[in-house]
Amino acid sequence: MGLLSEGSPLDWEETKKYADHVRKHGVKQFINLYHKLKNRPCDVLKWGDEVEYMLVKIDSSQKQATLMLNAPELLPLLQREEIENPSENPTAWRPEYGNYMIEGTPGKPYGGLFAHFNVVEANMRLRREQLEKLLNRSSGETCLSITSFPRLGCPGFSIPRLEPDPSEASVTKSLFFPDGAIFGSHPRFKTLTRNIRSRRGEKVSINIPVFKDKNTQTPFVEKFPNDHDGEGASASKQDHIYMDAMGFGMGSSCLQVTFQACNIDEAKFLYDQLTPMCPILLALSASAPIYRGLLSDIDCRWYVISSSVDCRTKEERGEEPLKNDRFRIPKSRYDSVDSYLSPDNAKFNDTHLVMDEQLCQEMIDGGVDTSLARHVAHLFIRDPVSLFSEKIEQDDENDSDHFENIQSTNWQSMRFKPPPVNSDIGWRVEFRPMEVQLTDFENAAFVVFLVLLTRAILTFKLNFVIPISKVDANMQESHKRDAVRKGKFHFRKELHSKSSNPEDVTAEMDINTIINGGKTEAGTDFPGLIPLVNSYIATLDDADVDTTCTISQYFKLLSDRAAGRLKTTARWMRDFVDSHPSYRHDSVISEEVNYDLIKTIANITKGNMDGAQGLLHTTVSKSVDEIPESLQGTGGVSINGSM
Amino acid sequence: MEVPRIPQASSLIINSGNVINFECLKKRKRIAQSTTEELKDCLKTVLDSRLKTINWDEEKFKTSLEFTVPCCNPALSDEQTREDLKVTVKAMMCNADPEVIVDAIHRVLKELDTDIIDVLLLSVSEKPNVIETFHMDHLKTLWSVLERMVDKGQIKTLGVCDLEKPALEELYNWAKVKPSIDQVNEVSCCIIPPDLNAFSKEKKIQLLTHGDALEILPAEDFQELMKESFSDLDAQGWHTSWVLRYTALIRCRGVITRKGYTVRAQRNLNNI
Repeated sequence: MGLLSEGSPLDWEETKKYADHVRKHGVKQFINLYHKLKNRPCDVLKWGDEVEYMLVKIDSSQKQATLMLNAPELLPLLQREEIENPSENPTAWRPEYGNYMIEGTPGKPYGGLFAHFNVVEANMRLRREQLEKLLNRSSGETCLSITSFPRLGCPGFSIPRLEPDPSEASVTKSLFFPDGAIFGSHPRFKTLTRNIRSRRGEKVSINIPVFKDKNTQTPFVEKFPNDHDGEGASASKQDHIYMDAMGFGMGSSCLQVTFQACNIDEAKFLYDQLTPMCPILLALSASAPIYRGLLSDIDCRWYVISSSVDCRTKEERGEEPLKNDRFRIPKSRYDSVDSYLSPDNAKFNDTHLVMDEQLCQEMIDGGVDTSLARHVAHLFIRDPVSLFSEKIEQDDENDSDHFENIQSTNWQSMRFKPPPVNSDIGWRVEFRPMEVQLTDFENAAFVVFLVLLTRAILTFKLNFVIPISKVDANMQESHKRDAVRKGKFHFRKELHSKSSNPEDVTAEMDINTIINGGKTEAGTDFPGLIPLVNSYIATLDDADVDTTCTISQYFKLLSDRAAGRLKTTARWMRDFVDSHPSYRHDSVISEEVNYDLIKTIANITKGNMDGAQGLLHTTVSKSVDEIPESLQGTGGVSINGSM
Repeated sequence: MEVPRIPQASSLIINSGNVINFECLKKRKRIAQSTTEELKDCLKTVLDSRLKTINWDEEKFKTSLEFTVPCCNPALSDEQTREDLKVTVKAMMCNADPEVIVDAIHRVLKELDTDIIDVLLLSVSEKPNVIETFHMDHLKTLWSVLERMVDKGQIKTLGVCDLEKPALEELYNWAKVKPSIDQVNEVSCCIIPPDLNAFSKEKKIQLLTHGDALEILPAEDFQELMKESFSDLDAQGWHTSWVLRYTALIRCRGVITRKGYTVRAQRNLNNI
């Protein structure tokens, strides 16, 4: 959701004028923050998940499934509890990019007790119930947690129906995505959209390879009747699905987890350890094969979003020689991380890190350690793309808006989050790559697995760090169709060695070996992430029967998905489309196919397992709303505050 | 002809030290399939390491032997305050003699360099004292000892293992210090009998899970270990008296910092 300042947003020309000001003060704010907070005494484990929902109307008389654009009306109703009873509210709600999207989180973070893992799914269920209560069930209104709405950007995809406006008058200038689908109650999202496009000097250009089915038009070329200035024709690539708006990326949903580390060093340690996990969990959670009504050749949303907010100019992208811009920048501001944070892992930063050298030196001179200074200096090569006039002048000792401005518009696979000034929140790490799943059971499974993995890593002092270049290669691999079953990933083969030669730490493994254990391509044995986590749980003398039962079901799901015994959501969607009687095997998702797919998804979300063949065994676990009384006093700390 | 190397020994204690970082189990790439296997690995590692430098001329007269690995000292450090840690000890008793359990617990307090155990879980063998059959009286005898330790402030809470509702209820009603925990095998975590579930909820007894076999270290397994490390003759007659497993958990962070086993084995030299 990002920084939601109040006030009046500047246009791009004005924002650009203040870019250096924001950067300069942002870094000063960071240096101050760093010194104030680097010695925070040990914090407890607190963590939370974020699930993004889409508001959908399933019209059985018209056989149409559309996105409802009424998030602005629903949000205040959902947020009432939080406003009236702060710190008592079990759920919290935030706006997201689309007028059809709402983000839900737990009202209070979960804590470090094992029994907390049994509460996650129930909380997710509660969020869904609260949202559903505001919808008109009988007219087919519902909310779904799907990564990408299949016909987003197709004519009539929304209700009310809106026409896209490709003229300069609109914010997106998109051939497909109407301005009215962008969240309207807060200026941030439209401001970002317009400024990213203005900075870039042209529309964002997303080209995703189309899936070549039996009857797919070959070569695959689309004509865009409303492409009056020909920008679409020149930006679109043959055999690709062309999209031209931020909404196609930021208007998709994901599943994120944030957790508080005990101090800055542990935060850096966990950031580093989870970085190589990003492509693995992206591949395992893959659930986005369809874009703009067309079946694509990728299973995940990551590079769609990456391109959708790519504010780099031609010069920065290397298409023209550098004249007005300072740097050649290899990646979009939304992409995977480029460096590790612990000084111990500096030798694994084997890619060229584009940095603002001056700001980097300023931080080092200001007492920030080199790895962290380089990380921030890399984030700060970007211009602010949203700036509010009221926030320009700041007190660098006590404000952190300029820092947060740049920090929150670098959308990376991991985010290292310093504590806000004057709060009791500690150093946090955010894990951002996972695709959201259809059911609360699945989302809880992924989230619980991730947090338990961090506990196992800390307990057994494991080391998963591999060269950054190999993590980048893995990210590419994770997008491929059926990467879970067919992909080969670089992964650390020897988990207990502290420092080693970056040259020989990895072996290639498939997802099954990584998750379940087995032999690597190098012939070595790899224990498997699930067996490692199970080993941690077995060592805990705190594991209660219900939580253990729930977790065993979550791990069965993840284990089966990794081994190919169950399909990823992406594969399930592909098979659904493929076997639909009116699908013409031309990669086109018609209104009818879309309707049936969305309807089936809605049923599965409600626990109706017809049509969930191969996707799920069950969505029933022992998850409960509250930790049982007998387990409460066992040493957990009462939870306060938000993340 | 094979000569026994420890012919006088009738009591043997092996301390695994802190094995949580896998440091001492580096050679093992596979995760142990069961706690029995894990325990055997730990014991083997200790014996292999200690027996390299052992002076047999001294050892062969000893009646009581103790082996520890110096590198993996499990003593609680001051990285965390004592309140932040939860120390759990599971005492798997094959010997139901009150003095024996007192000795066992004193050893683990010393091993961890602490005065208090937060949770003590008692598990009694199906065949206590080798020849007897388990009876609630065995459990109660040991429980009374533990209650005295609770009174003295050496243990905070007591728990029991693998009891079904009738036995748990009998213990609960009889005991002065009530059991707060019943730790059951994880294979049953999804199918807890409704009567046990209801009773535990009512009495606020936590139902926790473990992955231990009912006999974590059967005599044959221990004797096998002795054969490999010492000799066939030295392996004769040993049986497990008790196995203690301890863990230290940083409560609010879910990170385990210590885990280890102490095992005592005994034999009656007259019976060999």
